[in-house]
Amino acid sequence: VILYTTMPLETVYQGLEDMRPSYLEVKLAGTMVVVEPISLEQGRIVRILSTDPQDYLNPGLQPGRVINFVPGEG
Amino acid sequence: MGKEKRGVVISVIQDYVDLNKNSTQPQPTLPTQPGPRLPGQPQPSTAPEPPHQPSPVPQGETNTNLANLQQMGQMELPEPKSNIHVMNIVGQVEGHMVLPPQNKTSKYEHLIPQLVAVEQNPGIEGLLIILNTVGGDVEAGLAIAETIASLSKPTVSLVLGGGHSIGVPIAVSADYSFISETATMTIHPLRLTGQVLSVPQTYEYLDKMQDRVIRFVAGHSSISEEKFRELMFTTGELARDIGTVLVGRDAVRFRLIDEVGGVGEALAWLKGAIAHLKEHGRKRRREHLQ
Repeated sequence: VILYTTMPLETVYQGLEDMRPSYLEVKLAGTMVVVEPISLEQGRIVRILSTDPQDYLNPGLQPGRVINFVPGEG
Repeated sequence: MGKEKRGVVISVIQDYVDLNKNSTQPQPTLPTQPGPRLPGQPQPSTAPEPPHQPSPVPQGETNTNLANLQQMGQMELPEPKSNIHVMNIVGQVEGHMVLPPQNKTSKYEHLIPQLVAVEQNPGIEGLLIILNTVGGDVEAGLAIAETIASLSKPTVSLVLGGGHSIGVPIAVSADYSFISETATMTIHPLRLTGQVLSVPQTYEYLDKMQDRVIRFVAGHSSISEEKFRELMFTTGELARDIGTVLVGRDAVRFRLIDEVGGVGEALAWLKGAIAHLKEHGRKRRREHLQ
């Protein structure tokens, strides 16, 4: 990875070692998304896994959106 | 471990299913909570819901979510309402590596499919790219720039605040570029120190990468390779580095950016470019690229 940036790299990489992101893949209204759980009931969308380009313009699937988990059939 | 993971069964409240339906129709609020009634209001009907207001989700809590979402105005169609889309590239351009959370990032795995969607969606006629970036992953940045450059729809970029480092090729990748008067662009060499976490790369590799940046910028703007390289290796301009900072007009003077302007100018150009494409069947471009 080569970063071409004006930001000092120590600032960019600060806290990198302590980062332990955990992700889940869930199906949201028919589209696979990667979700970062923020509690037992909720997760935040990290990215979309879809081959339909229009899914990437869908406001309901935008990364950063918080979704609720409910137990159910997977 | 893998089995355990598979055992975790999670589904998600489908609080925005049927995005293609019901988006403009206000949904009835929960029948169990009638709320205060105004004198003129009709008696709440106990009859079953009329057929034109189907409930797409199971009743109960889910419905509350649905109602809330609609009250918040978040049930939107994925179809565009505007024929112009805007893409905001801020902070660090994030590529192969997830950066720690203190970084504000624009991730290439989001941006590139969005660009594909813009190209593919017949309702979108033009794209405005707004840049306020400090740079980032060189390969991701070049990939975004190449994708923007390859769009068949008119594109215009606007540098607001800053378009530094890898933001420079992204800014020039659009058909036409604007910079606001106070915005800055820093042009500096790629550094070896950027490789703290990767496999050892030779200086030659870095040099090649740098050439890719230089060639792309020269190929998509009116600056020459020689001039851009000169700006990149200028000494005495930056306190901690070699390179050049171009403020607003300077970027135009060196013909890196086409014009000084803001959102108004950029949108006006885009509208003109859309009209030009409709009329002539080909994109309006900078003179030297025609």
